Amino acid sequence: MPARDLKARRCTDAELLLLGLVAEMPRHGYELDHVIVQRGMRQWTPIGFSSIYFVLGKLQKRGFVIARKPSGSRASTKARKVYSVTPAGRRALATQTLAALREFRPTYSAVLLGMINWSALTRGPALAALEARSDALAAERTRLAAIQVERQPLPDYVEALFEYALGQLAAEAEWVARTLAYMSSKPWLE
Amino acid sequence: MMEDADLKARLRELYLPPADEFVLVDVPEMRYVMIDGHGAADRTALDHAVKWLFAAIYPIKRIARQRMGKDFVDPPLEGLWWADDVQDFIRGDRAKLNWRMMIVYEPDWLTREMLDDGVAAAKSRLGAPPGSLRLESYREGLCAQTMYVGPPRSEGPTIARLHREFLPAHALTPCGHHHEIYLTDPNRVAPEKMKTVLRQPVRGAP
Repeated sequence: MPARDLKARRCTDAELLLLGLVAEMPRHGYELDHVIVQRGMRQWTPIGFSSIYFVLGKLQKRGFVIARKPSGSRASTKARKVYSVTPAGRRALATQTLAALREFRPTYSAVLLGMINWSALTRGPALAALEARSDALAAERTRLAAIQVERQPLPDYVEALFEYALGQLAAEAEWVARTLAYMSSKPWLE
Repeated sequence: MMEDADLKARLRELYLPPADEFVLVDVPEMRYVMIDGHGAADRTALDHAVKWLFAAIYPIKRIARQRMGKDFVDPPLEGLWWADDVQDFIRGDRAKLNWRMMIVYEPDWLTREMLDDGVAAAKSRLGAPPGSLRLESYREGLCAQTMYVGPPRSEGPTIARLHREFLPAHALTPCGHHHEIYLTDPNRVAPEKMKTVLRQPVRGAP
């Protein structure tokens, strides 16, 4: 890829996530893995320990981060290098973070496929499946709320992030309850 | 009850002093949730206290945010530091320092019962609370303060400048515990950009 295309291309979610962490402060490779685990970021982005260095390598090639060996250290392992953001990286981070906030990107839940093919189902299993979904949503809300408490204190913008996720789950739970009530009371055409 | 604009201005005055100079401020009586401890050579007890403070006020912050909307401001962690022998404080001998970690518990419609509920809820996760966990009023009165920008534990020269230059020049003497207000999360902000309010209660020299 010519260098200019490489720069213009949008960062992937994993790239943007790592760029953000490196922009907070210079960090070691192993530190990045620790922070990703600590903040539960694997929930949102498929990024394994080994792929951290693959992604950092891509950010380096694009001139968004630089890697330095700690002074006096002979070790050149990736984990011991310190990664920090470049001015170009900081600009890219701001531009693309603004885009992420501004743009609505629809995500499609499996439940939509389930509803599309609803007529292929019989009453009992169909209603039971929606009930199971309702339980799964409740369990996820409990799990997230527990993480939110466990990780106190959080900055206000991270609190807002949890409120977003919990709000989505609440809206879906309400939809399941309404749909379940309707589908169980209407006469079923076999 | 203060009006919105007054409240915001008051918060700025108390919590966002200028970084390049010391200013005087009159800190009113406020209630704080607090935990005391001794020694900070390692951070175990300190971290435990901080975890407990935030766990205890977590449900209350939710209530306050709901009731106050955009007027709700997340209260920061604050710490008082002192030593039985002032030389230990000047040397920064962390093993010999006493500390009090605290979080402002205002406005006045926050009740003691709400806090009791918060403590009870946290017990199920964290076990028994530190014995000194309590709600207490504290009036600091006249204080000199500044915004220190930089890594924690390097604020010594700034504190020395306060005591050797600013206070004598204004005919003031220190009369209470050294106070730090931690405005940034060390896990998310580079050490050289961390912001801490350094505050010292003072009175006119006799």
